[in-house]
Amino acid sequence: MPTWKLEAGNEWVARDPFGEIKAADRSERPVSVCDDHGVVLRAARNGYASFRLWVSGKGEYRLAAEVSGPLEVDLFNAWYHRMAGEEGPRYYVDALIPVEKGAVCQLPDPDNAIDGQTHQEFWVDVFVPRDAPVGAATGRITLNDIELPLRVEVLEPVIPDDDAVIMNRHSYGCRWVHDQYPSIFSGIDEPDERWARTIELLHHIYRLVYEHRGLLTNRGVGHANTFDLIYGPTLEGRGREKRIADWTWFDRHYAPLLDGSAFAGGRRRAKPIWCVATPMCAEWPADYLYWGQPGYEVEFVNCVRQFDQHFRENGWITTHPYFFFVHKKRYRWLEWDGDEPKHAKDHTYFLEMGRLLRKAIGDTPVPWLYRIDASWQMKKEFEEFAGVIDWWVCGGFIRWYPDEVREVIERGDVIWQYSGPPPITAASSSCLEHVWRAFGRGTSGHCYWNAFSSCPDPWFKSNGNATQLFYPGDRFGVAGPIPSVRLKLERNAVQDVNLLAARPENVKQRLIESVPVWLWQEPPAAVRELPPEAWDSRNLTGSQDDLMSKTQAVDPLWWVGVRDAALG
Amino acid sequence: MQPDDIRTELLRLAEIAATLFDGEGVKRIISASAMAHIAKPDVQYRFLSADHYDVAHGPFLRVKKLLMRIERLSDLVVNGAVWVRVPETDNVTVALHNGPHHRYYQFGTQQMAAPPEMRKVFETGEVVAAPSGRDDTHVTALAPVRDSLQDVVGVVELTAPLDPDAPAWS
Repeated sequence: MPTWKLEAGNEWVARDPFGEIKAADRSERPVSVCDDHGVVLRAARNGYASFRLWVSGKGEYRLAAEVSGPLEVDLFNAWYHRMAGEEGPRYYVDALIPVEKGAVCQLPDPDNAIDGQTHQEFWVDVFVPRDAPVGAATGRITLNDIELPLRVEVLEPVIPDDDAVIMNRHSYGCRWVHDQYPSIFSGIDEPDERWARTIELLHHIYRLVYEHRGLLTNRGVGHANTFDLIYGPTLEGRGREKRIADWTWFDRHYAPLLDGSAFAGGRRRAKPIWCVATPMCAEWPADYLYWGQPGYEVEFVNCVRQFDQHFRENGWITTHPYFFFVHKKRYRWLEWDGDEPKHAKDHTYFLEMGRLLRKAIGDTPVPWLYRIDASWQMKKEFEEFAGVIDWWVCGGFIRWYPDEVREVIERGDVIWQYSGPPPITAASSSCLEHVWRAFGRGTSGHCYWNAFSSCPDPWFKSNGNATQLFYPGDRFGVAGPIPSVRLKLERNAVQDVNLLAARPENVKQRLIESVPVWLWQEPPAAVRELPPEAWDSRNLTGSQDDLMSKTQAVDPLWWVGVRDAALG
Repeated sequence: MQPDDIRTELLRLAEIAATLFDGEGVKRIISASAMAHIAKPDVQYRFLSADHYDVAHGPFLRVKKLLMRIERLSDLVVNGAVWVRVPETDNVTVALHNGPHHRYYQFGTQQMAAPPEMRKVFETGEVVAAPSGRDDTHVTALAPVRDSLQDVVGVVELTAPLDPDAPAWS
């Protein structure tokens, strides 16, 4: 008879398929999720509490989780992504496959195909509704005939519906869904049907992001200033006669996001999406052939005015449609950087575009945002674009400008930072640094510049999956996306900062002083001595290396203190 | 329209381009500093040439607009690009381009070895059709860009896709 064993651990520590703790997750101060009787969780209402399980043994088994109502429990089987290593393959969990009730599993898992696998990791989500009674809720985890009691201490606080930090998962276009979900598009050749399914799948992905306290943005306009038909209305005419002609595909794609119906039926309260990308760019709706001439202004103002009117007529006055440029001159389509300008001389384009936008939308109730992704010229732009740009997404250089960021926040602009997601090889808690920095700096969001790009084989030849937080569920019979460990960790962290945001300011300040994750840094010599036009990855990297020694090593369980402060 | 007919049409546009483009303006598009970085890429800091990339607004815009007008002389979907030499190398870099359809440009690449048909344009000053191949997805014609000394300082690429449904993001 095989000997089965069931262990439980906190959400921040992963193990490999042989039971070894992931090296990056080893802490000098381990934190258990169990007491003498079983798993014990503390949970605020209107959110999730999570933990991990490890099954060890050999052969077929059933794992189940249940909890007393109205709480709900979700069980996920963790996929071990295989990465090549000098001393043999390495395995890291990330993708989470929903476990159907009554499912029979196997160890070793034939699908994951790991030689000598002895352990299987699971993720457990316990959802606590907003109106759950305060006090203890009980449940259990069962592995065959082994039982592990579960107790959830439901606390008084209710996690607010609105997030103090918006964790933005960004994506580009929609052709990748055709590649990643072949079964959904198999045999569908008729173009309209393919676009309809594309929209349906995108909405599914939007919902999954939303349920995980995140925001999906999906930029349709590419560097060549073109976009697929679902991203914008069609145009007709030229010059004074140019107008928006048809809204069919745009409305089919965006209306459910803008009125919130796309998010109905989930555990989170449905509401309109926080923002949507618009198709406006240097070459839409106005013809760039006439840039700098009256015709450009006429075409732009007339069509954008019409765009704004469409939003007003439909009552879409909650979501922020945003005006943003993705092009960089290094890609040779345009003569100015629309994204992260390097040269101050390019600022005239932003100011002119801002003038045209204001002229077009006037005093509209639609909450437009004019966004810039800022890096090199960030400090100068904070000043020059005051009153023009009102949404800043800042690259890593934001760390050098605490005073300037404070001023931008005080004047009412939206300010976020951006980065890439950490790879699956990093400490499980490394993704939480982005949540913390956004919160600690007083900013309101963090953008992952790419959360949906996959290497050719993320399952058996992973490259670290650093641009992938969601996985296609195709291979597991799921007709849509499945979440990841990193996604769920960030969701839980957002819940925590939401609770902290409602606490007195001194609680946050005390945490800022105690959490060993830096918020601000002194700029390197190149930044102090040279204009941004002269900065480059060589003179910045060299300078950064000099200052790296000032960064403290962070224990992988550093978020425990934040969680404790959040729950009180 | 058949590829041969498309080629004939593109060659017509290329002859027009060869007359209209001013090489003096084309030469001034990419800044000297940017070009120096492209010519001598840093092996250790591979983004260095991109960090220093810069163009002159005026020349860029004038050439871009002219290219747009030439593209519109045809009812075909045509996208253009202007290529220039990378000094002290056998490579070329694209000074500017329009639209998503390109025979040669790979997104993000700073330079490439000049293909034989482009070298022929630089060397002979003739309008040339890019050779067709078994897996061709584009038809392309190339035109010389001469400066005031009649040196060929650039090549205009005019490309028509055989499948116009190019993704906005790749």
